[in-house]
This record gives sequence, structure tokens and C-alpha cells, in this order.
Amino acid sequence: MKRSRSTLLAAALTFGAFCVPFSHAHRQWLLPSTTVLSGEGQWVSVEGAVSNNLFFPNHRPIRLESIAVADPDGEPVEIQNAIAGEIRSSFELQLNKPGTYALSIVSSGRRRGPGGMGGGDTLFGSWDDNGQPQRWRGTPESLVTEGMAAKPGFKLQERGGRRLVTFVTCGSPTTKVLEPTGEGFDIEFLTHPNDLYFGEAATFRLLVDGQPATEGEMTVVAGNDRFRNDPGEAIFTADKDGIVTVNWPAPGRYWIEASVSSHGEAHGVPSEKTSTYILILEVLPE
Amino acid sequence: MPPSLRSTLTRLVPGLTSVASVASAGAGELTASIEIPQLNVAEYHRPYVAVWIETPKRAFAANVAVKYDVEMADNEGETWLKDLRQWWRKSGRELDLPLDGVSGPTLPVGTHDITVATSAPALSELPAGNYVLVVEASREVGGRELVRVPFAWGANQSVEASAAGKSELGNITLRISQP
Repeated sequence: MKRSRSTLLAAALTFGAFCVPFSHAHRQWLLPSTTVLSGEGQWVSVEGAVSNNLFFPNHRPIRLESIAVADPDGEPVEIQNAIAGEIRSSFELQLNKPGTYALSIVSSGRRRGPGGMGGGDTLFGSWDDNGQPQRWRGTPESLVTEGMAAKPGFKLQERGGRRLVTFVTCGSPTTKVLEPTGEGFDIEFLTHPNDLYFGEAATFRLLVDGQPATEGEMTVVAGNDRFRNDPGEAIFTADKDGIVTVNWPAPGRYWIEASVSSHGEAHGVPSEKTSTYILILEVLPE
Repeated sequence: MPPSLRSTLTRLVPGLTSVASVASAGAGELTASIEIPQLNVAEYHRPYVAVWIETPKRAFAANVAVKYDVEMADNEGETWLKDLRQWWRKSGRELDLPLDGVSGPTLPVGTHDITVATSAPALSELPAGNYVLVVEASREVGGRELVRVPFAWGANQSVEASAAGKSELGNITLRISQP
């Protein structure tokens, strides 16, 4: 199942001036210099940024303090030679154990997240003005004083959990760092994320609190969009078991955003809570 | 055959097979003849080359050879083994390197014969059927190429099959002689 996101993207860009929590205008990423390594004591260099192009820094750096690295045993690893720049951060890692390392940024909803998206008490909402989608931003107080609850189709957009993860493997791939947490929105890697090849489908199971998320989807964008007129987003939806199957259009580096939304109520009005999981993956030629 | 290839197999990795490079007199032999072409490039490094046998469905069956910078200090040469992408994925990353009888130094320009005995465990245990000899070459600051030579393997069956690369590899010939 593929469909174009261009209209949504255009809308997101139009409203990009004030950041909406699910904005696609800026993309957050961590990019390892390489993801498949051989030998011992190898180094990888990692860049991190929030940018308009993949994978080119042009907007904001990733906050280094938000980055956590787990070694193949799940033990924390110190990042080295860290540099916090104006438009990108970078650091290096030495891979002293064979196996798969996870590099991640995790934020639970409501907090000011990495890249400065969203924020403290700000509420975001949307409503329908005779077929024209309208955006609203305010506070719990202005929600009441502006009478937003009475607007047609009004709902708040709440930010759920956000995760950004990439992996590097030295030697044989291992799975300790892939284990789903069982809490919030998570991904079960049915194909190892450092064993992806052009011509082979990759499968992922989307989970919410450990259960298959059948309503979830994954947006896949290839790197180097700066050199394409059409960024070429492809959306893959989960099946009844929460499984998403991705066929890579070409070898290369990919930025993937998985998301699930749940509908509930907040501040006395309907709300939609969206949790996201961003993956940066490398797909090798055969 | 250079002396470095005459070491016998001392270690078998569980679940994996490798081939001892010793052909005893009167035994059958499998010879992979590999041409490393002369290239007119600004910076030339000898290629890393992996030679293995797999099934037509591309399941790994046996290692024949892997040629890389085995002599470098601290096993530094293993850094680039990942560039033998398919071999690394199918076998290399599971191995405790260097692997006796399989690991060997890089090959200069020219044609080289890699010979193993058909009585070697990895080969003698292969069920009769169709296989593919795969040769993968990857050159530092250069290209990569993979050449497949399909063949049938069975008792008392002699084989001569060949294929040619276009860039990093020249003619590849497989000969299997029976005792």
C-alpha cells in the first residue's frame, strides 16, 4: 500500500513556521558513518541534526545530552569526541565488543523534545472551517476563552512517545539491543536492521504496549533528497498482525518514521495522541 | 601453491565448514582458477578476494579461500573484510579469523590456482546436486565484483565450468577432477 504524502507535506510546510508536533517539515536524524563493520576496536563517527534534507545539516543540531548508546550487552557506552555545532552535532564511538549497538534518542510525550519541537504547556489543535483544515495553538486557558470546543471537528494533537534509533554492527549481528521494551510505541525487528539488502523485503512489527499496532504506518524516505525534485515518500501500512513489509527502491540510507495515533480526550475536548519512532537504516547493494 | 596455503585445518567453527588446502596424491581436486586483471587506475591496491560454494538458492555451503591483508599488525587487515559484502554476510562475520587453510594473503595481478582436496571435510560432506562457485573481489579505493560459476557436484563427476568478470575479476575457471 503506497500513497503520496505530498498534500500533507505541503500542508506541513505551510504551517512549518510554527512547529506542530507531527511536523514533517524538519526531520531529525542520527547518521553513523557506516553500519556494517569487520575487525576489532573499530570506530564509527556519527552526525546528528534536525534538517530539511536527508542527510544534510541545514537547520539545528541534535542535543548531545539526549543521546544514549547501548552496546551489544545492553550496557551504556560513552560517546567520544563530541562536538555540538550550530547546525549539527557529531561524536564518535569505539566498538569494543562484537555485535549490534543501538544509538537512540528517547523522549516521552509532553517534554520539550530533542530538536526543540513542541514544548511545555503549549497545546496544538486542528479544526475544520468548511472543508479548510485550520490549525490552532494555545494554552489550556485560551482553549476555553476562545471557545475552541465549539469549533467543528476540533481536536487536540497530543504528542505521545518519541524515539529515534539507529544501529551499527561489528561482526555478527546480535539482538539484545533490539528487544522491544513492552511499553509505549515500539518496533520488533523481524529483519535485523543491520542486515538489509536491496532486493530483499524487510519486515517490522509495530507494537503498542507490547501488542501489535494494526493501525500503524511507516513513512520511508531515501537519503539525498536534496538531489531529487520529488522526495519520494512511500507509506507502508501495518497488516492485521501489526507487520509492515518494506521493499527498498534502491540501496542507500533511509529515514523512516513509524507512527501510531490513539484517540481520546484531553482538557475536555477530543484529542489525538501520536507516538513516533524514527529509524535511520542503511540498505546495502546485493 | 604457495606455502601459506599449505597449512592444514586445525579448527572447525561449529555449524560452519571450511576446506583444508592440502591435496594428497591420488585424491580428487577442486581447483578454482582466478584471474586478477591489470587495471589502469591512479591508486591500485590488490583486491580482497573471497571464494566459496553456495547452493543455487544462495545458501552458504563451504569456504574455499579468502585473500586479504593477513600480515598486518593487530589484524588490521580484517577492517575491510566487510567490503566483501556477500561473503562477509554469508560466512565471514561468523568466523574466528584468520581461518587456517582459508585465509591467505592478497593476490597480485595474474591468474592464480586455488586447489583443495575433494576429500576435505567441507567438500566430501556436500550432498550431490547443483552448486555455484562464487568469487567476490573488492578493491580498496576501487570497485567490487561478484562472479558465479554454476556446477554439478557428485561422486565420480569431473567438472569444468567457467565464467568471466568485467571489471575487478577476469576469467574464473572451476575444475574438479576425480581420483
